[in-house]
Parts: sequence; structure tokens; C-alpha cells
Amino acid sequence: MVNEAEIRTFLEGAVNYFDVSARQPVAVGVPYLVTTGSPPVHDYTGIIAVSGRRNGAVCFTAPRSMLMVLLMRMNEPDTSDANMRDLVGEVANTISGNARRDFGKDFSISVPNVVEASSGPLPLPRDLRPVVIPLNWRSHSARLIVCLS
Amino acid sequence: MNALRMLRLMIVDDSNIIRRRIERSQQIDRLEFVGAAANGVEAISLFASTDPDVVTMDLTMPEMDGVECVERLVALKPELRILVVSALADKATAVEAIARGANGFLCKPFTDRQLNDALAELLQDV
Amino acid sequence: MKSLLARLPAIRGPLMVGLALTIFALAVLLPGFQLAGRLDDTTAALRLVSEQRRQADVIAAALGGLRDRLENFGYVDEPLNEVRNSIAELDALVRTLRTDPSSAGRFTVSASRPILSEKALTTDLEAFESTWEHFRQGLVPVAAFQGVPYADSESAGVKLNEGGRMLSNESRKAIANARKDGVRMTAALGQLAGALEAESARLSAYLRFLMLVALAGTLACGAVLGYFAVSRRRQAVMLADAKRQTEGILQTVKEGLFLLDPQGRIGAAHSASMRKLFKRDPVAGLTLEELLRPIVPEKSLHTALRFVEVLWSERTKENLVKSINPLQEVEVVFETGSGGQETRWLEFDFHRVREDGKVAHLLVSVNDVTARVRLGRELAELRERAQSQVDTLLGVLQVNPEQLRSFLADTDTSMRMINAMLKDPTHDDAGLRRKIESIFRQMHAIKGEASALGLTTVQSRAHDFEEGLKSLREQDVIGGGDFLPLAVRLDDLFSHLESLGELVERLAQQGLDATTADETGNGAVARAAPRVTEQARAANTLIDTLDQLVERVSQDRGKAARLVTHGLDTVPEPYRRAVKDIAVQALRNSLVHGIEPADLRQIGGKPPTGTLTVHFKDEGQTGFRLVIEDDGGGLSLRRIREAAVERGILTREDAARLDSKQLLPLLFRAGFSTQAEADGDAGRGVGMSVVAEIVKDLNGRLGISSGEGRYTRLSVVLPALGTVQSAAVA
Repeated sequence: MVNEAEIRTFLEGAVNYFDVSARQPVAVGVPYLVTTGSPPVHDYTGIIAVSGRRNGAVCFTAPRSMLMVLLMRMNEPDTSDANMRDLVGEVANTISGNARRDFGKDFSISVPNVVEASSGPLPLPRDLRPVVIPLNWRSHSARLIVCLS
Repeated sequence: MNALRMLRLMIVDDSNIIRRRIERSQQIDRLEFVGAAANGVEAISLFASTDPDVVTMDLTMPEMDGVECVERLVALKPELRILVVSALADKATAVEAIARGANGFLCKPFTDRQLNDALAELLQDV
Repeated sequence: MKSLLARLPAIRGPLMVGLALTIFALAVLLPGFQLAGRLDDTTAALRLVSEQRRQADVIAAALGGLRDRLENFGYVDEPLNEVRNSIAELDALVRTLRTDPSSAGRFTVSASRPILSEKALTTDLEAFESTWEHFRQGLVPVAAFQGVPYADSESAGVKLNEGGRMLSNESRKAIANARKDGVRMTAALGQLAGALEAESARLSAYLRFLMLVALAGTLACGAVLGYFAVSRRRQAVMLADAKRQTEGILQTVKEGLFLLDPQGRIGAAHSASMRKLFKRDPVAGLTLEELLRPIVPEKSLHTALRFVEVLWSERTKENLVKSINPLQEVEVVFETGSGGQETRWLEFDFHRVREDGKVAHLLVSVNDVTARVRLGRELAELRERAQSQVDTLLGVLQVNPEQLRSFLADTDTSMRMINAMLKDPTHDDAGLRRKIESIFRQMHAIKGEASALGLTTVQSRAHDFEEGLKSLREQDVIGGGDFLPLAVRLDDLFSHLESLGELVERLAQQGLDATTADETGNGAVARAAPRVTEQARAANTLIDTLDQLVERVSQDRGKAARLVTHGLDTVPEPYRRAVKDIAVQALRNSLVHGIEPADLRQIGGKPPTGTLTVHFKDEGQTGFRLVIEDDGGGLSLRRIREAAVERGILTREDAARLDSKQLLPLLFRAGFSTQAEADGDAGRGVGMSVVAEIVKDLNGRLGISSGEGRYTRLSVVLPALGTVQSAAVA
């Protein structure tokens, strides 16, 4: 069972990142559920594993094109793969930091793990319907995926 | 003190079922049902035409809520006996109603026996 | 007030002692005083008597002197005066001893009694009096002589005259008497003196005794006073003890206890746990409001204060007050040092403390009932869950299983539709509002059906969802994030329907499903087969579901149809659900749109019973192929064109121009249906779009083909399950 307040906490972390680091707010799209199969991902995905009161994962997935613009806005000329991975990890980190602040000791939240789309579907618990929240920024679109039991 | 005087009962409740239950189950011989109102506004006008001595009062009703209604009725007739009939979750409102002059409290849902006991206690010294 | 009453016995003791002491003092000291007076009198009398003891000798000497002077013709006045004097003295003595003391101006203390009233003394006094009287008679003629006893003549010289001779005679007689009487009188006086002495000694002894009694009394009083002093001290010690014990209790009791005075302030004597319960120090002197304000919401605070007002008013009865106590479970929130919050539940109990019939204080007890509340909530949650399961079960049992299955399948489809609507990218406000409206229609239909079937648990969830939509609709500005509660509720509804589905399956397996138990078709046979593997069991369930669907829908539609399945026991677990969902939608569509009524089929030269085929095959690297086919009338391109034009998807010209390859994908668009009226099985324009949605989610491919008058074939390819995915779902 997903919990709205918890999702909001994660979402707030992501939104915050764009507000602060990219100095340009992100538009939150209409959330939906993934009822079959694995949620679709973009080129890079930062995953934080959650355990404790709830188990599962929270992911931030973004396309290369968006990450490149983000890096440029942050005055980072190096748009290598490694830097893009770093950036996705950064966003995931912000999200987990927000969650730690709000949930405290009830949740154990891992450091982010970054995976690429080519490595296949996300390692998420099955039998759950992940909630996908589109994050639209400029002409690009990233997603926050919350998959918690 | 006139022990044989009949007391006029008015029921204020927006639920038909509750209204009928109170009307049906009142076994106190001294009570004479004179009318039922579904909300505070109706209650005030019914009060004017029937002049009841005893009122059972629901607290959450449309138009005018029970607490306000209690206050108005007490202002109109200080010796009026008012039994607040309300859900347990609504104790705060019940306290408010008592503070403004209601005399008894009956928790919903209630059995016929509880209703009669509450009415009997309400009328103990009338 | 009360404490003073309690102290009264303590002062009653000494008070009584004081009173007793006064009475005792009067009883002892008054006689003592009198006695002392009498002793004084007696002593005075003794002194008088002693003084007069020599008087007889004085008289004898005076009489002897008188005789000598008479013989020598001497001057007689002197011895005569002595005699007279002695008589007066002795007379005075008798008078003094005899007469009323007040007249004598002495012995005022023993006012009421003559000094020698004592019997022994009286006898001695009388003896003395009579001897004196006798003695005195002899002396009186002597003392009475006046003038000169001699006659002086030339002739005879000096000689006694007549008076002188008489005096001489009398004095001789007196001298003779005096020898006898003087001794007697002296003896009587001695006797009297002895008696007086004895009396004096007696009085002294009596007085001493009184003194001793007084001393003893004083000692006794002292002892009693001492006892009281000791007992007072003991009482004081006990009081101190009691105070210490009270303090001990207040120090150790877990309950918060305090008194509220009429000003609403907390008294100094409160239990120490108050500080812990409220995390405040000091607590005394605070008002209830000050105590509660930091830890309870404004509304609770207001209620608490109102309630306390009611408590102070004498108008409300004790029972009423107890029954409306709104503070039996007060949620309090404390800021913890680390910036977090701690929630606890406190129970307040109020007792009115009356003095002189008026409420003087409120005794308040506070208990931490956090554990109880938590437990209670857990129990309530469990109960609610159990209750809702029971409700669900009852609801489910009341519904015809087929209807229920159909409802579940339909609802599942509708919800997927809703989810697809959520997912459909929309950027402008108008688009979001359109989204709300179409979702609303879908959800409203679910709610309506659920209520028709009496599935209250579904109905209430659908209702909540609708409410969410309504409030969203009322917002001036809508953002994507505002839909989050809907996504969460949708997830809940999905879960709930899943559990309902499981429940239905379980009931069917346990033979509670009356309708299916009577059946002897494929499903029943399959169910009767030994449950070899989980895979086979899952396949059986799937086949049962599809069988029942075909059975029911064909009956409803007045059509005859049979289902043939192949390879459903090879559906891998991750695809089971997708296969079922796709098959349900496709079969329903086939039954509604494809299979013709028996009479029409016969006209067309087909067997009256239509055949539906579900074929599943593992094609290795290519993935899995699912083919669902019917031998019905095929798709009507004409009706697709009409529907597309009606729904404004295509212009009439475009529609006419497009060929089957371009027209058929329209069937997978949301909201597209060729069925004019929505009914239970199809026609919401949902079914095929749901299939498309499922396939897209799984990264599969979808194809549809049709031979007019012969068949419709839906073909789905699902990707092979890669090693990565297998690991991922572990």
C-alpha cells in the first residue's frame, strides 16, 4: 500500500533539487500506477532502497538529454557518462535525505545506486504497483518511481 | 412541585430513524410527545408553537447545529430540560452543549433502556 | 477548616487537665487556707495563754506585798493596782478565748467559728474559767478597795481604820485562797496551753497532709500534662509521618495527581510524576491552560477548559460530568530535543472535592494510557480488517459468483482505463479537467455496479475516489501533483479487488461456489484433476475463469459458444495476470461482437455453437505468443468507420479512404467502441484499449486480423523473460 504522505516526501526531495540546483522549477505531472510489468525507465536511474516500516525502492530516472542540460545549467562543462551518473545519484541522494529527515528511525534508506537503462528492468519488488510521477522540466521529462510495500 | 404534571417532549434530530426511536421508546408516563424537528431552525419555531418542557437534541444537524440551538432554547426557557443525544466521538461538542445549558448526555448508539435511564435521570428533580 | 477539626481532640486533653487542675486547686487550697488561719489563731491563743500562766504568781506576790504594806502602814496603791491589773488580764484572756473573734478584731480568717470551739479545748477552757472565777471571787473585794486604809490620830498614832481592817481581812483570806486557787488556776492554764499545743500540732499535721496532697495533685497534673505533651509530640511525629508518607506517595505514584483551585491553578502538593508526564518543571502554580497549551491542539484545549468550567458549576450532576469527560484520551505531542515529536495519550479524571457542600477543589488524576491506546488502536484495526473481510465475504457470498467475476473483470478493466487516463500526458488545465471528467464517469460506473451487487467495500472506496475527484474539480488551479491522492486510492482499489478475486477463487476451490460446483464442463474436470504443480493449479484457475466467463456471457447474449485452450499451463508466472486480463477482454469482445447468434450461424453454414480459442506458446528467443481467435462474423470495417466518424476521430472522408490496416488500430484507442450502448460486458470503449495498455506496459506487440464472416484473431507477443528480469523480480 502506498501512502500519499510518504510519496509527497520523496517527491518534495526531487522538486527541491530542481528548484535549488537547476534554478528552474520542475512541473509535476499526473501520477499513475504501473499495473503490469516493470516501470519504464530513462537512460539513467538512481535507486534508493527502503527498508524498515516499508520495504521497496524509490527511483529517479532521467534521459541523457535532460541530464546534459542540467549539467550545463550547473556550469559543469564535463557531460561525460560518469558525470551524468553522478548527477542522477545526486538527485536520488537529495530524495533520500528528505526522506531521512521526515521519517526518521522508522525507515532505513540506502545510499543511491545508479543503473543504466541497458542493464534491464529495475530491480523492484514484484506484486506491487509502483507509482510513477512524471517530472517535466523544460522540454524534458524525468520520472520519480515509488515502489513501496 | 407537581408530580402529576405532564411534561411535553420535543425531539430534535435530523435522522428520521432516531426520531422515531425516541418517540416510540419513551416509556416515562409523564412524557407527552409534542413534536419533532429536523434541525435547529425548525426546532426554534416548533418550540414557539408547542412550548415543550423536555428536549432531546442531536448535535450535528444542518441549518443550525445543536449547540447553538441549545443556547437559544435555554435563553427562551431557562427551566427547559435538554438531553444531548450525540456520538461519543463528538464529546467536545457535548461539553460545549452542557456548558451552554444542556442537562444530560446520551451517547449514540443507544439502547432503549439507556434512553429511558437518561430521560429518567434528566427528569429526576422536576 | 478540616485540619482544625482534626486537631480538636489534641487540645481537648490539656483543656480538661487545666479544668481538673483548677478544681483540684480549689479543693485543696481553700481548706488549706482555712486551716492555716485556724493554725494561726491557735498559735495566737497559745501565746496568750502562755503569757498569762504566771499571772497567779503575780497575784500571790501582789497580795503578799499588800499584807506587808498594811502591817507597816505602807502605801497600798501599788499592790492593789497589780491585783486589779491581773484580774483585767485574766478576764481579757477568758473573753478573748470565749467570745466571738470578730468583736475582738482578731482571727478574721476563722470568721465563723470561735477559736476554742474544739471540744477538748472547751473542756480545758471551762476548767480554767471555773478556777479563775473561784479565784477571782476572793480577789474582787480586795480589788474593790478605794481610799486610804489608815487613820492618823495624835492619840493613837497611825492605825488601821475600818476600811483598812476590812482590806486586811480580805487580803488575808485572798492570800489563803491564792495558795490553793493560784496553783489550780496555773494548772488549768497549763492544761489549756497543752491542749492548744496539741490542737496546733494537729492542725499542722493536717496542713502538712494537705500540702502533701497538693503536691501529689500537682505531680499528677504535671504527669498528665507531661503525658499530653508527649502525646502531642507523638501526634506531631505522626503528623509529620503522615505528611512524609503523603509526600512519599506523591513522590512515587505513577499517576499524575494535583488539585485545581477555583482560580484554576495547580496546587503545590502534586505528584512528582506530573513533571514527567508533562515534561514541565515546576508544575505547581501553573493554570491548566498553561499546562496543556504547548502540547494539545487549540480545539482540545478549548474543550478541556470548557469541561472544567462545567465541573465548577454546581448545576451538573456527577454522573453527567463523568459521562461527558472529553479528556479520557487526550493526544499530546511533545517536541523532543532532536527536533522530532513524541505522541502520547493521557487520561484525565476529575473529582470534585467538596467543602461545606460546595466544590472547593478539583482533584485531577492523569494517567499515561499510551500503551492502552496503541493496543486499542491495533485491536480496532485488526477488528476492522476482520470485519471488513467478513463484510467482503458476506457481500461476495450474496453475489452470484459469475456476476462477481464479471464485475471484477470489468472493474479491473475500468481501473486500468482510469490509470491509462492518468498516464496520458496532459499539460494544460483544460486537459487535466477533461481527464477528471472522464475518470469520474468511469469511477461512477464502478460505484454503481458495486452498489447494485451490494459490494459495500468496493462501493465505499469508489465513493472516496469520487470525492477526491470532486474536490479536485473545485480547485482553481490544478497541478499534476494534485492527482497523487487519486493514484494512491486507485492502488488501494486495485489491491482490494485483487483480494476479492482471491477470495472468490478460494471459495470456488472449497466448493462454496454453488454455480460452478454444479457444472460438469471443462472447468470442473480440470478442477477435479490432481493438483500436480503450482503451475497446473494456476492454469486450472485461469481456465476456470475463462470458461465461466464464456459460459455466462454467451448465456446472457443468447449465443452458444465453447472455449478451447492450449498451452495455458505453460504461462510463466510473471505473465499470468497479463494473459488472463488480455484473454478476458478479448473473449468478452468476441462473444459480444464476434460470435453470431446460433440461427445466423446456421444460415451462414457454420455449426450453431461458436468456438473461441485461446492459444499460448513459448517461442523461445522470440518470446511468448498469445492468440485469441473466434469463428464469428469478423470485424466490420463499415462499423469501425462509422464509429470513428461518430466519435470525431476521423472525418467521413478520411474514414472512407483508410484501409483495414489503418482502421483496425483504432479499436485499441481509449474510448473507442462500436457498441452504441454501454452494458455489462462491453461497450464502454474500454476493453480493447485495456489490452493495448497491458501489452504496451510489458513491451509486447499486438496485432489484430479478421476475415469478414469467418474469424477475428488477436495476436499478442510478449518478450522473453530475460535473466535480468528474473533476477530483478526475486
